[in-house]
Amino acid sequence: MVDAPHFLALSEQARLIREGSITSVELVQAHLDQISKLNPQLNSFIAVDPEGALEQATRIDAALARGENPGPLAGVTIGLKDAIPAKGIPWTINSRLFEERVPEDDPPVVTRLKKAGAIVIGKTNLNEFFSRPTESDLNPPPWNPWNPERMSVGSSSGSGAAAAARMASATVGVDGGGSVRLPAGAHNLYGIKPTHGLVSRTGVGRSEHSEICPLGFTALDTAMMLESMVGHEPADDLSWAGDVPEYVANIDADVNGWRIGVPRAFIESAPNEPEVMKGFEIFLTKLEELGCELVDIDLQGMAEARAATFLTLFSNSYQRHQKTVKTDWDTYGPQSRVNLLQGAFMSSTDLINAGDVGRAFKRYFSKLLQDQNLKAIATPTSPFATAERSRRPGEHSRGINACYTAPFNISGHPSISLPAGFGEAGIPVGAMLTGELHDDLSLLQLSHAYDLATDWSSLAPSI
Amino acid sequence: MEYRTDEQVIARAHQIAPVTDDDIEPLINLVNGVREYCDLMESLMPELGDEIDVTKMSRNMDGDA
Repeated sequence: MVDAPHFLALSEQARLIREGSITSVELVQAHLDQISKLNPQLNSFIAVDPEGALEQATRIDAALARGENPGPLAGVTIGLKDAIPAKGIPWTINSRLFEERVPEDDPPVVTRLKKAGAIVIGKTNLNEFFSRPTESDLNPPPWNPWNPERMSVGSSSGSGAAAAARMASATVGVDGGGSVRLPAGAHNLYGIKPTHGLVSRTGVGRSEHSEICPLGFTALDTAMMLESMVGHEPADDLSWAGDVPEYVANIDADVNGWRIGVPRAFIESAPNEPEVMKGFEIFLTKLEELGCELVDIDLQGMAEARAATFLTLFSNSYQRHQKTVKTDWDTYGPQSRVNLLQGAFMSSTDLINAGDVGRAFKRYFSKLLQDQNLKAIATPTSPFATAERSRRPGEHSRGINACYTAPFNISGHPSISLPAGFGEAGIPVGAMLTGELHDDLSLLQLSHAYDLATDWSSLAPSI
Repeated sequence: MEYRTDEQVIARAHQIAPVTDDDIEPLINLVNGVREYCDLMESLMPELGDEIDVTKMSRNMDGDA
């Protein structure tokens, strides 16, 4: 008998289920109880599937009892951002437009997670169509379990809140400009945006630079999730067909001597709140204690790449909604419908310009890493320590909260947010590592070494 | 980006969606940001035959230095 198994890391839960110390049914029930207890206050989940989850758990327990191997994630639960469909569970993107929609099939990424043994326990909250959250969204915004009087940063806000509150073993979000890394940072989680194309977006839609990403309590949890999500999908022309290393088997690495770039001049130009910088400096100190060599670097083009990412997002969003905004305008929330129109004011030349700038930045950043022999660069995840601060109208419309994250969406480089302490409001702050294309493994290895050397992942909100 | 004035933005908005008066002000603010981004992209385009040079781009968060 294990008390409160939902407070354990996913990797530990999976091991205990495999060993027979707990059953998957017991874990699912613990998560369902946690959802019943906390979700009315936090709004982390907008759909829960207790019957389906318990049914899957029963099947997995039976398979284990027969001596079968149902996969590396056998019996653990996941919450999916409601931008990602899952068979039989409402798929609303938190919009009244899709209030009644229930998918009949899983997209490939969900099929892969289920094949690995994961159980979809429900769908997590998000801003309607990834916009700013409003009370007029189909479901009201989630609150941060680290301080339930504060909102959760989005757009994968519910995925951050649900994981932090131990309502699921791990969660999955979608990151188009920082929408997984920002909530990971604000919820004391590890959230990785993998190299572009590693995780297929088939059946999920969204911008060509948005990535489906895992959020976990520990770096190892995040690696286990990502390993089950990656893989080539022939029907997806953006899907990576090359080799992918085993993340979990290779997670332990000696990071002594790894060179990490720190773009001090760029960081100092951002309106970082003091607690963000305090956490970041502690993060850097810990990297040095691990043997990493910190190298001050000159990093250019971040503002331009951020602009290119957002222009691409705007264009993609309007393109998808161009017919529906004409016919169902009043069904959209007032914030998201206005946001969705932004792309209608761009020309095709503007979009091509943005793509060219993004590709130039991609080449430049890879060359920078190679020329200076860097494993990664380190930055804060967000300049702001609370969601409220990041949503000041002038700063939100300029994407300031995403000044560190968004450039690497259009470049496609892998990027992971790690816990780096807490701000004055009790909300966690994050630090971020960004590395070379298809070297996601190094980011996971360094994050794992950092995780083992710190206590952050052992902390849970006291709610 | 051809929509330079509020009047142009409002006319375009009415072409593409049944916007209300309440939608106009936030939309104009957003389109001002889009215009800044589009102008920034255009300013980075090289002469014919040249490549975009990131080493001539900004070193700060605002993109102006």
